[in-house]
Amino acid sequence: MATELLMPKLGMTMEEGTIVTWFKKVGDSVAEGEILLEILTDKVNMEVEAPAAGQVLAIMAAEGDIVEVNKPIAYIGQPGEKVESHAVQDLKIEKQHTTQEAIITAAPIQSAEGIGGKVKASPAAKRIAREEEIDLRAVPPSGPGGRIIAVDVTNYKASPLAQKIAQDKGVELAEITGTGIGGKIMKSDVENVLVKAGSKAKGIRKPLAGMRKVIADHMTDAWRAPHVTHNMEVDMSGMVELRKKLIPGFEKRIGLKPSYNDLIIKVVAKALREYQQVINARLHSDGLEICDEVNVGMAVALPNGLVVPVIKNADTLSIEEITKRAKELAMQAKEGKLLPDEMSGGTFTVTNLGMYGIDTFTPVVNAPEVCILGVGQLQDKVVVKDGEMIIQPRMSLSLSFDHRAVDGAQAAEFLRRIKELLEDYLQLI
Amino acid sequence: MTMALITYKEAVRQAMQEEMRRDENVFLLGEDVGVYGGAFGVSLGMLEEFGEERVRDTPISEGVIAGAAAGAAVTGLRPIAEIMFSDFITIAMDSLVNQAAKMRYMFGGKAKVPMVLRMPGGSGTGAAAQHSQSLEAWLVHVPGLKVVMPSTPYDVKGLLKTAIRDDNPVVFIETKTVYNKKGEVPEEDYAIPFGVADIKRVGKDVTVFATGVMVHRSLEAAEILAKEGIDVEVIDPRTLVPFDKETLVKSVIKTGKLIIVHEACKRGGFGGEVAAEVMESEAFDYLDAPIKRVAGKNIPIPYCMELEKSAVPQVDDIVNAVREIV
Repeated sequence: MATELLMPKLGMTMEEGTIVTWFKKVGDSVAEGEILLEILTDKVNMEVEAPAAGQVLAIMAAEGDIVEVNKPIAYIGQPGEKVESHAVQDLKIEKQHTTQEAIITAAPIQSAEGIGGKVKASPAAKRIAREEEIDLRAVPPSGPGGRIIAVDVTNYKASPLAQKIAQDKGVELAEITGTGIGGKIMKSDVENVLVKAGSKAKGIRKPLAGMRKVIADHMTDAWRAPHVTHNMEVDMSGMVELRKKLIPGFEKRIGLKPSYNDLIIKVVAKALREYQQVINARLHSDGLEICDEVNVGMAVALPNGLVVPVIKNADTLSIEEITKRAKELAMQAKEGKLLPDEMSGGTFTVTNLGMYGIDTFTPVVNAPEVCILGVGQLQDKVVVKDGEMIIQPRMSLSLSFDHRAVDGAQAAEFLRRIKELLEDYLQLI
Repeated sequence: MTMALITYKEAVRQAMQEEMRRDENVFLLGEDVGVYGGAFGVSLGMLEEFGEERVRDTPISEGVIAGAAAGAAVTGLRPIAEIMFSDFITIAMDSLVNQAAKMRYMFGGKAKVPMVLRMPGGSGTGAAAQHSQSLEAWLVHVPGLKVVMPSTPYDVKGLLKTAIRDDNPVVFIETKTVYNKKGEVPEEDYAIPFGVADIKRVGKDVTVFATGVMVHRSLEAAEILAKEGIDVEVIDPRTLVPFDKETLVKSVIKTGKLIIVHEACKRGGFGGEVAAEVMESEAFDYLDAPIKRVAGKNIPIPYCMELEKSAVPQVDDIVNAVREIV
């Protein structure tokens, strides 16, 4: 019997995953444990291994498709083996069409299996499959009585998005040469035809796929919160001094230097514990969740987006532990190896743009969290103290908060507490 | 070209008149074709113009009509013989099949048989089981016969002229229910070659191959389906023998779907032959649905007009058949 490969459930909260890339196509043979495809879920890209050795008999979801967890995405078995049709029928794939934000739901896929395990297909479908080297067993039928007809094969040659655009714009898929894997017609191929045909489309649109799509959805969702941002400047003399003192010991013990961000996370975690009832919370549609754990997320910029790994129970960790954990998570993020659970459960986020020379900004709250702290650049500034002008290392903090959950005064108090802690590190002890 | 709007019946008459004026060897024979002007009035006025010598009323014997026509043809005349109802071809079969169809071959080409056997076929007039049949399949089966089945005034006139000028026996099946249908016909002399199908409507989604009155019903069906976004191509072969396979195959390659419509019973009907031709052709690899035949039921045509309708394909039957496969 063919081995079913399901969309893996990689985290407690994962409900669906996006197919990013298939490394194998139908008919390819795979070894057990060989990387079969890459999926994206909840901001993380994961490689999925073949659960068994054999031939890829069927691929149930195309690149760009979003599939519910525990739904079959591929079948692996012996050449000629048939795929269990009842399992296939249960599959419901949501295909995304991001240019119009339309969600297309595919019709339930049936098996085209005829008598004696032969594939039921029209002569035209068979001819196209032969010409295009498509395995008809993988093509979902739409003809009467479960027959594969020509359009099924030409559609199979194209990604769901390409199909949708071609249908909307009246482009004949049969006349397009695909540039995707195995000659698959991709969205860009259809758009190139449209551009050549003098269509109104200017430039090439790229679908919001993968991480970009996750970020876009998440930001749209977060932006619904009424945002207010408080800005406050902090004297960082103490922190500069503390960091200098910590460096030698840290380097000796863990081979790492503490960053200002690590120190800020420590401070924020302590303040969060103190203001747990107000700030350390998550706002859901059915109410405000006051969180027991203080889990601080740190925004990590990647070439193609942004991820927020979470330092769990940050208030219980020493600066050294925070430095170590932050470094680990940042490395994993850059290598795309974060696990979904390492990016969930945050109760507060710190985002630092200081290294880009940003002084202040208005971060968007990482919903369902209710506050986010933006950290600006550290620089020497002239300040007036006791009637004298002195030079002091200073830094701006920008605290954005969801005004539905947090009042302006509460947020101001919390930010003032962070300032106090940053300016008097002895309170951290 | 000057066009005149005339009926199918008038077009048949004009073709006969013009050919008889052009060639004195052409003459008309049949039951009641003279004084009465033909059972359907096709030859009205011809007796007056051409006289009893060339417009000859015969005894009520199709055996005589076909035999006399074959004899006249092989001895140098060009007879147009009318069989009052195509059903009566059964009586004429021996002369037609065993004599007329064979002579040119058996005499090594030294004899020719330039005769036309005209006959109205089909149902729709409440004329019951012995006056409503469509027996073209019997005739296409016989080597040596040409079988023509025009559906419009333009086609019937142009094809009848070609039939009269042909040196072989031609069975010319007229569609009695379209006798009074009008269409544009050139006033100038013209002839339509055999073996050239006519695409009555250009479409891209499905090919409907139809003969006789079914051409008209298919065109009506096509208009209904056009409103649903289904673009139907209607092909009228016009002549069954010789058969224009190329036009049909090209069309099926384009549409990938074929529906064959004829009035004759489905069993053993010409539709089976058409389907087989397509299956054997390069169009096979382009078929995207099974070929469908919409044809008469395998029963004698009922006398009751309502039952008669349900025995042969109507517009709705064609529409439904197309919907099923498109």
